[in-house]
Amino acid sequence: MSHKPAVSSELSRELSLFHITMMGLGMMIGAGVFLGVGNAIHESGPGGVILTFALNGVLALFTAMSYAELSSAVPRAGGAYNFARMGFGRGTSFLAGWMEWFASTVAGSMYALTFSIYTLRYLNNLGLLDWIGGESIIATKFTALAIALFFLYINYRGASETGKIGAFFTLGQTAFLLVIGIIGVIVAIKDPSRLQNFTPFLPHGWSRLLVTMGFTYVAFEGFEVISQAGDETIDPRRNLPKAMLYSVYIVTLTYVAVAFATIVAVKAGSPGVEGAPWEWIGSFRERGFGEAAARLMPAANLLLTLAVIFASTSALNATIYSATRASYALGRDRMLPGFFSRISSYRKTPWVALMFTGILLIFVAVFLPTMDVASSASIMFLFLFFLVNICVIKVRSNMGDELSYGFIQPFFPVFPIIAIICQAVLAVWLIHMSLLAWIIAPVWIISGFVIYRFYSRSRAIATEEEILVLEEEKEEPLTGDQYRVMVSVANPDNALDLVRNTYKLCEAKQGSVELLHVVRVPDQVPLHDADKYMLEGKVGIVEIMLYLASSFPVSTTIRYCRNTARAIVNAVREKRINLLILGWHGRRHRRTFRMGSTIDPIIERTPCNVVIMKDCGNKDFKRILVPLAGGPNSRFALEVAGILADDDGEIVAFTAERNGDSRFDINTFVDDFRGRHPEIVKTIRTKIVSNTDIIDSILTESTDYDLVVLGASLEPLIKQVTRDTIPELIAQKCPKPVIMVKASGGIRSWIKRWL
Amino acid sequence: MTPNQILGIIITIAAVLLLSYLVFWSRKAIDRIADKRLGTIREILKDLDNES
Repeated sequence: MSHKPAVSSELSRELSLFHITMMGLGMMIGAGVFLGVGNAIHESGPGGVILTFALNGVLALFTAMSYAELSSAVPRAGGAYNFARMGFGRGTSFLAGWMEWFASTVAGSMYALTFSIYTLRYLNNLGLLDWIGGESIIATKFTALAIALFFLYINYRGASETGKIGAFFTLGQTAFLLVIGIIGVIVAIKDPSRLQNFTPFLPHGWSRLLVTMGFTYVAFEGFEVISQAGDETIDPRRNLPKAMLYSVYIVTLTYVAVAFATIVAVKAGSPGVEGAPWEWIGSFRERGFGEAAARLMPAANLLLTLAVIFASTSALNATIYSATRASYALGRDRMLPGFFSRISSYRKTPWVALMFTGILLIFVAVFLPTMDVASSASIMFLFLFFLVNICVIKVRSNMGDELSYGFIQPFFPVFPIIAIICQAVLAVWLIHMSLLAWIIAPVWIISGFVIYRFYSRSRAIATEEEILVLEEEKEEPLTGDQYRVMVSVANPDNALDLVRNTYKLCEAKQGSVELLHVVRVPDQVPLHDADKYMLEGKVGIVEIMLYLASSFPVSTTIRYCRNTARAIVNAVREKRINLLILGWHGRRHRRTFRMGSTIDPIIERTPCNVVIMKDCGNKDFKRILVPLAGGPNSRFALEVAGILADDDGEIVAFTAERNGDSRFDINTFVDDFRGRHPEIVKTIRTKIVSNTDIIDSILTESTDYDLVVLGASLEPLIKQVTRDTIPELIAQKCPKPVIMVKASGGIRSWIKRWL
Repeated sequence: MTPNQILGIIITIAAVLLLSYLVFWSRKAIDRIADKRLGTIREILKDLDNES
């Protein structure tokens, strides 16, 4: 039997940190500074324009840090599409990719038209368009078509050419803007009277800042294109996050400098200037920056035209690149037909995705009212950024132990939350700018829903991160309010050790039982071969069923996945489990975990009660030690001890005080517990010892008992990672059987379950 | 100078300083994570905590 050799194509890694930084920078500068400065001055005055760019820069950096964190962990073409897939699954990710494709493509149409309009205007001023009757709609559309085709060809040539051409144009425009900024500073130093142009500072008040921030925010969206370059970047885990942050930093400083120069460029009372300089500049709206620059330096008109040409073409180049990669990723995962992911074996570029992007871009540029469609692109960019900021929280929470990050943002999750709130406000504000945009955007999104529902959902291929249900048997349908107990059978050899205690807990709770076996498939083994791992798990489940099925409704599930903890947490959420029971071998292999890479995430993320058993077997528990410190976990520990203790058994509620420091009143706590749980009739004694070493006192005390039941630590992750916590240390060191419990309840569990 | 001007200058300078701090802190963190071959959130948090 002969096999065809498997030949696959992939994108070549040729883009350096410089190239991708320039790509991002190019997309930003081409978007808004030329058109935005004059309008911002008109709306919010001389001080407002500087504050607008400074504050937008900070807000953009918050989102850029989210992009940087996610891109460093998932450095693949697709950007927000990939992040949404990891955070929320296929449906949301399709919509993210669908919106990303549209937003980038339509932004490209706008840049093609911007290039066309400014170039033709300059040529017309020189009298070079007299033979075609000056600037006409047909000439404008034809020029836009020509420049779009040229950059589609450049993108077809390959990533390296794309990056290098983009870098060349971006350097030109950035240099021009920086020269203007520097000249502005020099002029202000030589003639300090021009600083009077900043009076009044905010003529329309502080509230107008929100208006101008919303209008100019699109000038900060370049990090999105950088995230698309993951497959083609050299050392992507290091270079992608750096490029995103550098580009936002450079562009913010440039914008602030340009805004300053624009204000001081015009001298009050000079010929042609009536009223305050800021009013005069603002009266030109989009052309305000050009009019001011012409007063700042000679030959500004030519330089400005050149700068706009540089800006619009580099932005066009970057948006074609970004849109192509977005549709390529959709094709790669079969969300769109597979031919979208075809890569030219000669050029190594996704030529089919590029072709469809080109068709859409040219159609929009030639046939549609660009500014309204561009506004809908802005809305979609804001939706995307909104989604990415949610994704960064979700992905870190769910997959932080699985992904290999190249960067994590500080003060998490403060910055993403601030960005989410601000972007929501700005997106809503855009409705005042273009009503048509708020019609086009929903139409595109709804069409995405339809495509996903009738095409993508059944065809999309599973990614390596997804969890698949291999076999599921429901013995009896579960009713809505029934107490559900899930037993995770990790090791079939020890499965029966969980039976006796599970039986007691189910009996006490009158619950149904869900037996779960998660098959972790090694990364080297394709997921479609996972059924080879199924048999042993099935044996363990069947053995437990023999004992439990006669007394309780039992259903079973076998799932395979790449990460056991995530599979269990997801199963708990999907099946709305109330109590999760699992065993623990008592060791940890990595010091960054307290109890192990599976147990720790389960304790942190499951929105239900958790009982973890170490060396419990099928033993009798006549004397149970329950170390207490107050709080919900202590209460649940006492409840579990009450259920598991033999009928004639004794429970000792124990607390150790450091040098007689008694902040916790154990007797009141136990009395309160008895009041809440009258069904627990077993003897509960209290014991207090004074010792400087709490761990030592509990371990010493435990030698006289059959079982120790502990509440898990409530410390946040950062504290758990950076220092060992008392309950987990005791659980590891205690020679007796140990049960660690975590209680659900409160707002945190509700949020976890809801999410 | 008017109160608005003073406040505006303070906000602008604060924004630029915050931007600079976050970018340079991030640059240092990226290099540190790459050089030490750290990966998961726990490893990185532990390392950053040790550094501080």
